[in-house]
Amino acid sequence: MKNLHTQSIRELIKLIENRLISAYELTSYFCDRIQTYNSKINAVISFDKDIALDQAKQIDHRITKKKSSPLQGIPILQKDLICSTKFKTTCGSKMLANYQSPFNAHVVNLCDAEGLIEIGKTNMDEFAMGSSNETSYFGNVLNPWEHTRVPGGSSGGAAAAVAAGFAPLATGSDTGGSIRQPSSFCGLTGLKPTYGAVSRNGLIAFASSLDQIGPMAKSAEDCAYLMDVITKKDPKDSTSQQYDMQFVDYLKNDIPPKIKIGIPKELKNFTIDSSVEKAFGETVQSLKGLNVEFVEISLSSMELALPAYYIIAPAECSSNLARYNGALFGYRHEGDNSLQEMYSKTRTEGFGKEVKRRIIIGTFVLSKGFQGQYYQKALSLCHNLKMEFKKIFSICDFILTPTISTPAFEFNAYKNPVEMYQSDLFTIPANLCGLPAISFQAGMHGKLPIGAQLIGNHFKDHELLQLVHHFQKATGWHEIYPEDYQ
Amino acid sequence: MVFDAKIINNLSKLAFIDLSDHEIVSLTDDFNRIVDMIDSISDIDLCVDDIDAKTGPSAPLRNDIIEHTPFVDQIKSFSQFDENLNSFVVPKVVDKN
Repeated sequence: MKNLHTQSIRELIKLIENRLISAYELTSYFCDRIQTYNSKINAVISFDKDIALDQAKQIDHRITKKKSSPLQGIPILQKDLICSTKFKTTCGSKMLANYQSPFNAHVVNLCDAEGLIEIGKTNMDEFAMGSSNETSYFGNVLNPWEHTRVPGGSSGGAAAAVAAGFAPLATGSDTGGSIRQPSSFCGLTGLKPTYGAVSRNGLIAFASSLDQIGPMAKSAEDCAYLMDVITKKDPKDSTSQQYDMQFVDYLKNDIPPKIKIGIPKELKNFTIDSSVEKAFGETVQSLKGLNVEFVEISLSSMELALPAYYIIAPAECSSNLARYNGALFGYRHEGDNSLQEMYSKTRTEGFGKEVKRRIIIGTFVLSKGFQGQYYQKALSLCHNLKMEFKKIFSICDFILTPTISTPAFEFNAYKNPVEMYQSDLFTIPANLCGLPAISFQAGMHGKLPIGAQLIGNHFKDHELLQLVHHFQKATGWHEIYPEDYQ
Repeated sequence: MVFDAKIINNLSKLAFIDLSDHEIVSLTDDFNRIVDMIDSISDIDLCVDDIDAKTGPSAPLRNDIIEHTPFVDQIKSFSQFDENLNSFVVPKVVDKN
């Protein structure tokens, strides 16, 4: 059967239910695509066809008795910071290059229980620190839409893999935009769920108060299928919360009348590429066609979210990554040295440049002389930002912004880290406030897709998916595939 | 605040990361740019006086001092190194109950 990678999850489910294809055949098809194309884009770093097909055989055996869950037999790729016993979990780092987790993340257990087939792990920026996938120990990921461009980061491997048709679904994680920005660069739909909606148990931590696992797929409906699986309260994650929602069923409803979307007037203060502005304007028009009303809002703290993020995230990262010292996990410097030398040499050799940079920033902002000036102030700013969002959501349902101000940029495009950090401006506020936000394809610039972002109130993830689902039915942007991977 | 090689070197030692001279020069440049960016929140009045009400009380802070040898000696003093076992012998915990 041809072109299975362009079928929606709904269509793949029907093929399996009607016995037109087996889980084994479907898995084999996607594994073959990885084997054929992965050397071009380096999106998948752990892959074993035998492990994938063994799972598929078991699922086919289960299906012959009774098909009990919708996603039985559907292949999925997990981002390589989500612990799984089937493959190594490297975090894109030399530090964990040979790390085999002894347990599954909660998300992986839920996917296994549903009958999803884990076919591999995707490349990523080292410890999820990066916006371009240029910091992975395992090499750059290339954007399947144009190989001279980055796929975004840190979930760039997942985005490139789904865009290239290696799997219909992938998980990503989003600390400052790491699901949404690569989704924008690769023409996907990517949802950063409400903080607490998806368990972080088994997600290797970067910044624990901001990290969130979420789905990446071609369409909002495909994302909704995965949300139905992964939003289950987990007693092992104290921040996990109950989210009683049937996401796919909710999408079937019409959009409620009188939806109001706010557009921050502060967008005018930022340099936005003309191609993104054009796509943004067209998105507004398409949404108006769905009877959505637009209002101008003020999000005055938006600009300050960036410095606040680059204080809080490095602070948490320097604390979370303190555990990698050669004693317990992963890489260890061998030699006749003292305990402290072992720590230092292990960390010096095991971490890449960007990770070291962020750990040292974190060490600085948490140091005794500066904690009040930076870290405490950043936390206070987050509080103010949350209050501002609360006010905004009392007058509108969603906020619309570009996902990022440019289409996918070229490798080595930024000469210093601050230029790169500034590209996260529109995605960071949702993380600082724990809000759900979704990126979806809103246009094209030449060969490159352009994304737009909707931010919703806490636990309105289903409403975000529903609105984007109706937008996609009206526009069809999500049905375009990269030329060389059709 | 302007960062120089000495400050960067001290911070990297606190973080248990060794930097070469070349890395220190490169990181000093980056660091000054990054701190310029994050410094923009220093000028804003965020009512930091009532910060504990917003973010919860802060824990007491340790001094930013790199403690080397005493720390290792302290660990060693808790247990003797056994050449035959090639490991440190940790005293057995006695359960008084």
